[in-house]
Amino acid sequence: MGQTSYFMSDKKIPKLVGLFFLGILLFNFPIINLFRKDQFVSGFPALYAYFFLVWLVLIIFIARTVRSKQNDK
Amino acid sequence: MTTSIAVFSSIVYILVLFLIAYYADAKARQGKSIVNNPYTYALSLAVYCTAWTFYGSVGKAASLGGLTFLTIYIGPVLIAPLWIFIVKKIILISKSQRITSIADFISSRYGKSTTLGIIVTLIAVIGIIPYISIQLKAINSSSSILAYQSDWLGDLLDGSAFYLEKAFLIAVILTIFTILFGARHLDPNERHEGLIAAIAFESIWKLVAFLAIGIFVTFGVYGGFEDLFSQAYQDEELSKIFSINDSGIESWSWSWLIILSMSAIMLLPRQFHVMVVENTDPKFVEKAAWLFPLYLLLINIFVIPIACGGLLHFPNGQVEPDNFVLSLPLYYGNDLLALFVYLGGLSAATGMVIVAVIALSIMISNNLVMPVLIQTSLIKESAKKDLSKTLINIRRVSIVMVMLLAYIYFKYVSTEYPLVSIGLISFTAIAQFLPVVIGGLYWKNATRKGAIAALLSGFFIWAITLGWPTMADAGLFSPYTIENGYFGISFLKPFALMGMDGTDHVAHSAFWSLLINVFVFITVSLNTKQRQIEITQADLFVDIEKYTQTGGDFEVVKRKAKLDEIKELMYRFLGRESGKKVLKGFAKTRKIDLSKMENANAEIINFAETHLAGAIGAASAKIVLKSVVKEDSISLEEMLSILDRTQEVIQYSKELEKKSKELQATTSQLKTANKRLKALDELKADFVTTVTHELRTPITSIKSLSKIIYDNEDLSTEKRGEYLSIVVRESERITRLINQVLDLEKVQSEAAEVKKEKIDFNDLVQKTSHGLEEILNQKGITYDFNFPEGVLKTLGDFDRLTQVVLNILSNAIKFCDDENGKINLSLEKDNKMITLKISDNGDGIKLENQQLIFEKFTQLSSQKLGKPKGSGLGLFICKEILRQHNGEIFVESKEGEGATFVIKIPSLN
Repeated sequence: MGQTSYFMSDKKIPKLVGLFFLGILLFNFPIINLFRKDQFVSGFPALYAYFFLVWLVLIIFIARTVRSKQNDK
Repeated sequence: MTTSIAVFSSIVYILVLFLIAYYADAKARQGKSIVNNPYTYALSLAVYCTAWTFYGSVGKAASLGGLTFLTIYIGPVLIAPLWIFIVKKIILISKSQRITSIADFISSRYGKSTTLGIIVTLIAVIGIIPYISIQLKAINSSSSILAYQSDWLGDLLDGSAFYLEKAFLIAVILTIFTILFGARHLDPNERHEGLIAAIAFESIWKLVAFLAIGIFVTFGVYGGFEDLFSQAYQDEELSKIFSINDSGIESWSWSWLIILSMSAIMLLPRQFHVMVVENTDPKFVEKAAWLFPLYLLLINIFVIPIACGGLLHFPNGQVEPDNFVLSLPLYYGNDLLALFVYLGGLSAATGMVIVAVIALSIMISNNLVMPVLIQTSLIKESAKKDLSKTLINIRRVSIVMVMLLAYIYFKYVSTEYPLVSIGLISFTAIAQFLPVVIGGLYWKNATRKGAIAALLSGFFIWAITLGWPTMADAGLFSPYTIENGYFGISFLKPFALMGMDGTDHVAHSAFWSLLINVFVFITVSLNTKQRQIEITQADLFVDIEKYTQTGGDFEVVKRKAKLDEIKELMYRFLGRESGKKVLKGFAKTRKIDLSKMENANAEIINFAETHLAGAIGAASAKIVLKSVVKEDSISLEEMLSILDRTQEVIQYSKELEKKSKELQATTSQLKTANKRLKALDELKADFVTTVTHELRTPITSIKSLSKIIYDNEDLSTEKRGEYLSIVVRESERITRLINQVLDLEKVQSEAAEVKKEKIDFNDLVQKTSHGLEEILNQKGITYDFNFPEGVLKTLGDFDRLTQVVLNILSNAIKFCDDENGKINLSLEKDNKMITLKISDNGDGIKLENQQLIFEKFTQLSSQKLGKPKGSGLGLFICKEILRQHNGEIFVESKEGEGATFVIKIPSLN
């Protein structure tokens, strides 16, 4: 411990907090209430597709933010 | 499938787990850790996914909760980006303080408080027991479903006696395995590499099993997603699952469930254990922050398809939705897949139970039992005994107790509820830690009392809105309060506090408990003071970055102890062998020879304290060390009290400065006053001299003339009359002088309070001058008085102004020749001023005397009169009176050509 800082550089923190709020916005009312049960996207119910797609995008964003930090060093 | 096969495979599965753990431990001893990587770390976090996930998610989705089940996973996904600073911070703090549980963390943050440790432990135990009980329920019911063919073993486990009941046996087996995994020996760091390896393995198994059943249902039973979803869409009821709106989810409870799961992922005792205590490198958090959401995505992707499949196959409720996962492969005769899936469910349940119970047992032994033991005589008497044995036994007993309680809860409450509902009760209880943990990390002023009050009040609300009513609902108590409210008050209905009706019970409880919790936390913290140790700990927690960068030299209190005593303590609580090992390691890294040292320095004491904290909790370690450690003369308390005093002194000196400024002002005022007094004193002395001198002259003449008359009886009547008239005149002079002195006194003393009223100055001057006409005529002085017409209004004191006019006129008469004398008087008015001019044709006044005559006791001798007639006060009095009326008086004169006295006074128009 001590030789390197275990904390993110300050630039990353706003990005991560931004992702947090983006996720809250996307996974909450009223957006999730927009989908009707008769909407389908290539065989998947639109709501179902939306959730897992957004979920995947969030994962990618988190991974990219974390990795870009490692490249900085 | 028969009961024997189900039981046999379960036991084999658990044995495999144990082998993995054993292997990992062996590797760890060789220094080749198999868990020291971010992937294992992320997988160990997946202990979050329990039987609740494995069976309950499908159950919740299929019982038309729609996507509500997802909130439990969305919360952790949303908060994951914040882990990178919140969880890392918690890990760094915990490593530097050797924190081994959430109870230890909270207790340590708020001044290593024993009370807080006990409260947190109790909340955690009470909150988590329902959660453990649902794992028992899941194992129980899933094994029943799997073993649909009864055989000899099934006949034996018929529940005729409680020890032959399946659930009881499951609890017993789990207890044994938990003890084997977590309480075989005492590890000062509470690190269990074997356990983590087993948990990671379980996480893989349950994920693969769930994916297998998902793929089986979607692609085996149906022709892929499209086929499955379109069939589900045909079903009127079932299609509601595809819309938040139609499945009737409320925004309110959706948001609260997300908040609850956000706090659960970090604060559940088992999550804290795998995430913080078992963490080997804080950097792993970064990778876990996206690997773990990915795991959650995978394990949830087939929930809806399985739920749809289940509902399509068992539309009439013949199978409980919680059991769809297992019933579907059995329905299609795929026993092997069913067994595989069952073991997946078993892994989800056992993983949770083992880690949760270990975490709870650490809390119970370190934060509940130890503080009590240490403070009672029990341990003091057996001072020389090796206490590590006692400690491990306390752990084992705790494990048994927790499992027993969970079993009892299962027996009487859990059977009545679906898995998810019970789990959420636990989440709500644990969420009570959120304010004190987040506040503890980022708010230095959060106090111990604030934390205690917040936890107690939040937990109380939880207990009356979820804990108790759930048990009443299950039939343990009368349902009276649920219908009518506590004490029959309708505002106190457990599920509708303050009349907040119609919301989800969990959201309702979460809202009220956290609202009160946060409110109490902030209010009490703002109104209580921190003790010294709280201040130190708060600084250490909030500014941990500062301490890790400066190398951790943050000791404020200088402590001293005998090294032998420290050693003895470590042997007692860690065990002789492991204690020696730990100290040897320390001596090696610091390059010091402990055998040559007699006294332990602060560094060694800190080292001992953190290691003891790892074994028995921060609060207990603090108490134990206190018995052998002496604090140096300048303790933190003293330093702070010195600071306090300095503060007071600064305050005091500021006040002094203010006072001295005031004093200075007063002094200068006094000085000027003194100067004036001195001047006045001089004036007074002058005045007295002059007055006595003035008095003496007439008195001398009166005295001598009276003496002549008295001595010479034969004095002629004529002479006698002459002398007597002089005596009378001189007496009058004395009277006049005294009157004037009295007048002067009056004028000066009443300076501020002249009675000013509206008067006609024209009338005043006319009346006064007419009164003198008699004398003028007697003396034969010619006079010319010119008065304007009308009224000349002014503000003033009639008597005083009369005195002025009379005085000036008398003076004029006095200094005129009796026969050739001439006096002119004129009165006029311009815009602002009334001007009165009185002139005589006497000797006039020399220029140098024109000012002087208005001073006190100035008398001019005239050639004609010889010595002066007046007292020398008349004009001075006039000047004073006019000054008081904002007017003025002066004289215009040339020697030998008479004098003109001018009086000016403001006119009132």
